[in-house]
Amino acid sequence: MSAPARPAAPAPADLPAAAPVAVAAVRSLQSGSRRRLLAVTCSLAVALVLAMGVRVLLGAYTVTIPDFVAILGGETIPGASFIVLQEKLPRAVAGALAGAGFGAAGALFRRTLRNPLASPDILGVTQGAAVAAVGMLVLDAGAGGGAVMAAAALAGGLAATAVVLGFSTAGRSGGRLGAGTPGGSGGLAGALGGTAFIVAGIAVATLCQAVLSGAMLSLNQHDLQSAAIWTAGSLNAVTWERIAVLAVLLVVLLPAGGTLHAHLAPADLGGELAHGLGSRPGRTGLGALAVGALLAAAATAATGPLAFVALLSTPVARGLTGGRPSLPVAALCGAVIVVVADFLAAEAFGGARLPTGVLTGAAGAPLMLWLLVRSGRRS
Amino acid sequence: MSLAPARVPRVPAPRTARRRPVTFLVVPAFVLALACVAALALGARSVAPATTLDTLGAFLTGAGAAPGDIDAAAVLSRIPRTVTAVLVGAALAVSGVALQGATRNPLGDSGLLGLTAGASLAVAVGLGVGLPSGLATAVVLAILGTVLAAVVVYAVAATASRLGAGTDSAPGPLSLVLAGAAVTAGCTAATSALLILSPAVLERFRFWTVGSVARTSLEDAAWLAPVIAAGILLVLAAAPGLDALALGDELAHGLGSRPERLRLTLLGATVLLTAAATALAGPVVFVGLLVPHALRRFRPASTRVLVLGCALWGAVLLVAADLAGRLVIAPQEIHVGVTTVLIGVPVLLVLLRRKAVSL
Repeated sequence: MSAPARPAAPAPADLPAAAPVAVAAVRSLQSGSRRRLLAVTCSLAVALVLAMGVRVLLGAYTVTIPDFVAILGGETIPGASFIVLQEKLPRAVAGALAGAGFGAAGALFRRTLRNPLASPDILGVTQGAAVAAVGMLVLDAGAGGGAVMAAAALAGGLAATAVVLGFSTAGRSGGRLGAGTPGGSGGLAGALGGTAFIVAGIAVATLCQAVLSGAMLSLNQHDLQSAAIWTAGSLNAVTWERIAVLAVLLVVLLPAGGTLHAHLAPADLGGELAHGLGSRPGRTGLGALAVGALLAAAATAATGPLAFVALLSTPVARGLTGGRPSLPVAALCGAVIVVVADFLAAEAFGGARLPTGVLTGAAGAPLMLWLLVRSGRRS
Repeated sequence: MSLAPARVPRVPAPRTARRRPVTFLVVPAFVLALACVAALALGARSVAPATTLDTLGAFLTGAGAAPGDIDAAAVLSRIPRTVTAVLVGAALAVSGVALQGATRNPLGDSGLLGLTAGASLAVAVGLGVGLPSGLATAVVLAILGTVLAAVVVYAVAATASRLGAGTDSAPGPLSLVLAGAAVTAGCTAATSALLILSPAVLERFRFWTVGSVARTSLEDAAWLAPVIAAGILLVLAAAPGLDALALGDELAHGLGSRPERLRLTLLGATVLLTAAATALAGPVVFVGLLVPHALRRFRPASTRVLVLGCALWGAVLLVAADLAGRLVIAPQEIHVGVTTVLIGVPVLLVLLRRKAVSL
């Protein structure tokens, strides 16, 4: 909100003498903000590379940098080659990719719904994707490859979003595209940020969670253990095949998401004003939600539902950029969070290896409560 | 003596305005009896109703079944779960009424607000640190967990609402539900961490992750029945004050009730009922949301009647859910914890769509 508000403050039109000064002030503010964004993006990218380096090289089994370069170059070092190529490197890459997917999805939902707590993992999108993916596992008994599971997860995530949307946009009489009721933005754009939308999303999330745990009870002890780890969100099961599927999806979805995110900028001013500026917040928002749901579902298919990553990366990103919403920064934040959480979950508890999602869930819940308190203060 | 003026003031009361208390309570009692007999008779091995009643009579008079009588054995094996379903359903439905009244929140449900997740986590922690796995430990731990979750959810939601509205108002429904979702997610993550770190706990606890009445014993149910009865009586005693509380704290105070004490009583009863139900059956959600909302449509004569009706219909709902879960995919079972969510979420979504739940 603060970035669009600034240009309005200086330079009343009837003071021509002051105009150049004011224009210069606005320019410097804008370029300063842009410079900060650039600096934050670059330092986050560096942080991501560092975190991935730590994840690959350090831990209970350390690899030296020359060895790592040699292994990447195709040399075979007994033991180290296997651990790096089959265990450490895939986990680091998958964590970065999935975190970027969750972070971008969170940014899209945040901007469309204009509520810091409305993220795909609260609104049942990741749970819907997880139900579809586990359903594939149960039906196919593991025969389906990464692509099949990803397709099922994408369908599940979209279906969950559609159900939430369908049941919460009751007041459609005011016209679909933000025709505008006196109280604020009506129609689709109004319903997108509404209370009913969030409650319906929480209900769908509960439903999917119950179906998931009900399905898991019918598994035997061995399958139960692995399914429990997957549904908690874990990088244990990643394979290069899954990573390839996720990477292809992200290459398609991230630019689309970035474009929609930028197109939604006027919507920050409220539905009516955005409509007046020539933007169509309802339709663009719908597209952004669809792309966000697909991003979250694609990440879920690779790693299971990593709780709270989508929710937390956007506020962290906004804090770093000084309140300026940016999809790349949110995606980078998500990637750093997942890689660091994965390292901690694998190494910080001695011999025991926690699923990454358990760590993000346990650490994320207090942060979400804090966000809730803070969101009350702001409004 | 003119007859006309005497007739004029008699405005006929709207016929559908209030149901008679007797029909409001007799009908569900009858349905509950039928549902219980059906739950005892049907299942993997179905038994004729007459045999079921004979066996039940023999059980109640203390005469055991003849050895080798498979029909009687089947009926006897279904008694504990039916009794548990009745107790848990009544407890959860009444806790829903109390919670909705105490927080003035149409979405009051101990599952939706994170209380059952807190209870589950406390029990899992107890098992994890090696406490004896008796029912008494489970109940005490469940009460502790429920209280802790309730305090956290209420404090966070109240702070958010106070900062948002700038007044000392009660927390809004959305803040409560969001805080509940956060607490549920955190507790679930912590519980799964415990289960993954210690496989022994996973084996003993795995059925706790989904609410179920399939594994209880009659002794457990008998032990907890007085607790649940006490909780329901507490809500019944406080019920007349619920109407005053619905008008807001100041008006309630003006009407002569004491809102703080009333709210504390109701929340205490909620904690008692939720903890007892969770200790018996694990997390069963949405019963407290469904039953009171459905019954309010029929306009009970008083809040006491509403509470009693909720207890009866909640018992019916859980017995029916257990029976349906046994019959649909026999010989497998769908546990009641899943069934109630499968029924409850669509109903909540339809309520939201019709704007029947005002937020």
